[in-house]
Amino acid sequence: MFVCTVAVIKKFVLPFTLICMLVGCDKGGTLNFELKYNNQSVLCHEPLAKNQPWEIEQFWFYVSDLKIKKQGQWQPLLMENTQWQHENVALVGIHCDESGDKNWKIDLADSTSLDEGSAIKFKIAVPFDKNHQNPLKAQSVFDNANMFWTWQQGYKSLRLDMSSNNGDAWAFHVGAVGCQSPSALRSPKKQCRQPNIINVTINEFRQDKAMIIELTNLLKGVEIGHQNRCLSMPMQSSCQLLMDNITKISQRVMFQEALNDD
Amino acid sequence: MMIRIGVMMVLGFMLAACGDKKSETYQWSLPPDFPKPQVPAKNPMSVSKVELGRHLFYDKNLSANGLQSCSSCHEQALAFSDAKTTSVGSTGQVHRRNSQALVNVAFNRSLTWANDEIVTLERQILLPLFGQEPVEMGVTGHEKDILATLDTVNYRRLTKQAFGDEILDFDRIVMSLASFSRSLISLNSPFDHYAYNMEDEALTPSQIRGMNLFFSEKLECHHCHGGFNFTQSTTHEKQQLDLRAFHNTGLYNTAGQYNYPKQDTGLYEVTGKIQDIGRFRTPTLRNIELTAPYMHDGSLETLSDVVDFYAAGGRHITQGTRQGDGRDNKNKSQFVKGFALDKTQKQDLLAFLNGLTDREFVTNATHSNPFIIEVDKRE
Repeated sequence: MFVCTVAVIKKFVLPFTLICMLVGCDKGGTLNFELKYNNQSVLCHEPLAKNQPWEIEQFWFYVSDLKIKKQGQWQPLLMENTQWQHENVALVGIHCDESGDKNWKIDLADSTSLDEGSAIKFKIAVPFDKNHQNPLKAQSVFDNANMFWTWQQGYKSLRLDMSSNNGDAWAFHVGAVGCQSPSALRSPKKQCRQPNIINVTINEFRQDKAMIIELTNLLKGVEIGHQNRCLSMPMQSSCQLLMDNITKISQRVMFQEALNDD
Repeated sequence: MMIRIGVMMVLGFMLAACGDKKSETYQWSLPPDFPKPQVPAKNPMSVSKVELGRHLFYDKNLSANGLQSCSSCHEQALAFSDAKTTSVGSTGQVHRRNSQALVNVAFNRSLTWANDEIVTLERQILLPLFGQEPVEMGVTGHEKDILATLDTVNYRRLTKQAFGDEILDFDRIVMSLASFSRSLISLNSPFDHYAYNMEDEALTPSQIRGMNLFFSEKLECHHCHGGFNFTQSTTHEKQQLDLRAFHNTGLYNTAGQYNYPKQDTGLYEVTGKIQDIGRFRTPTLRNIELTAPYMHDGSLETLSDVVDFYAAGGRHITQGTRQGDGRDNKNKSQFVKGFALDKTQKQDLLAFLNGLTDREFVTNATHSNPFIIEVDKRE
């Protein structure tokens, strides 16, 4: 009988939510993201650019600790709980296989929360208290074997997998390392030595503009190939360069277009 | 006297009603909070369907020549696999592929060694029953005879309990076999006790070291053999992303048109995409100790061979018709890169893999052969 009730709830709640989305029942503001390569939109099953063999297989990252600056003060930006967002952590990105799963936005709980914001910032990271939970009890965006490493290390906060049409492959996986616990399947009691949190700041924020993720700038100076993957291991030389690229504002990996961008 | 009959009748009705109720809600034998498998709406689980399926699974009369049952290639003691390099069908035809273990297949994202379109057991079971290349149970052309042989008092009773009337046809045979296969849940290994019951003593120190190696980025096993079922090719009712986990592990790199032996080019045969040559579905590692030999064609005999193979980053065959260096196969997964393991580490890793064996699963009477009468059932 319980099973029957759940089925009934599923039958009615889903369409209701859909209607709400169409009509706009109390919807919050939205942050939009766009993935680009050399200022061109990145498409699945297509080379990133005309004369090079690489295409993306998947690109995902977690967003947490989202904040907005109003009148000189930083304040938290709260997210709605949706399929791609759970307890103020969002999963953004795309999977270029048959599922075609993708999510390029973050829906905020309060429709006015972006108004008069002069800057925003967030972390590409899963908060510590959520990063080392039992994967079987994981909810929503954390119920994701694709992004999960182990209890000890937690989730990949960012994952970029690419392949080339001549059979080569490359990956960039970011996650916490140096996590102390009795084994790979026990969660650490304190912060990992190298949490590898990526801080992103967008100054001069405009809520009507998307946030661009420019892959050419992320990959600047990195020779892509299977020899040069970064899986957050200390001996992988490409990791330092990639982390530098993505964390420095001047590298313009994540930014918004200026009004008169050339 | 009349009152007695009346009471008996009422009781009879109540019991009959209870029987119906029992077959309505199926209780999965899953640990608490574990996600349930997806089940097609057209074939909901029930105890009585599973029971009918169990009988058919072990019944040689399901094959056209009466010589083979499903259990011939799927033996419970071997986690429902067999010990052959590749299986042999009811007519003696040698197959090209190794029998897969039926372990948690309810959670499989796709079925068979290399087919991304077969995603339900109901569809897959048609292959061993009706397939003609190779012939397994050989049902095609013999359907009427087989159904006639199965038309017994016992099957009528089981069919009535499962489906409400006594008519057993192949549609119902497939549905009940699928239900039985789904009921084969194995989640009670020493690893599970350590990981989910938080029993620190459930694994030995060597197994824990092996587990840490297994989940390390150095070995990268978990990229394909990750998750609760030790394969990324998994789905359940709450899962967000569909992972299509077919990988080329560098077993071969043959000369000629394809870089895998043309007898079996894997997923390519289904999709026609060049990059799918040599790609096979990642099987579960649960109970892997029991399911030798390994790989789609049984070409790796022991787990020790398997570890050596992955440590090398592929297989180099130096002579014969399948010569070639699999380590250089251009379709090989980027996660098979090779690694260095010393003797102790290898022992630890193998010890961990043995820790995935669920002894209860391979002796559980609810999955066993109902046609074998237990003579001595003491203790």
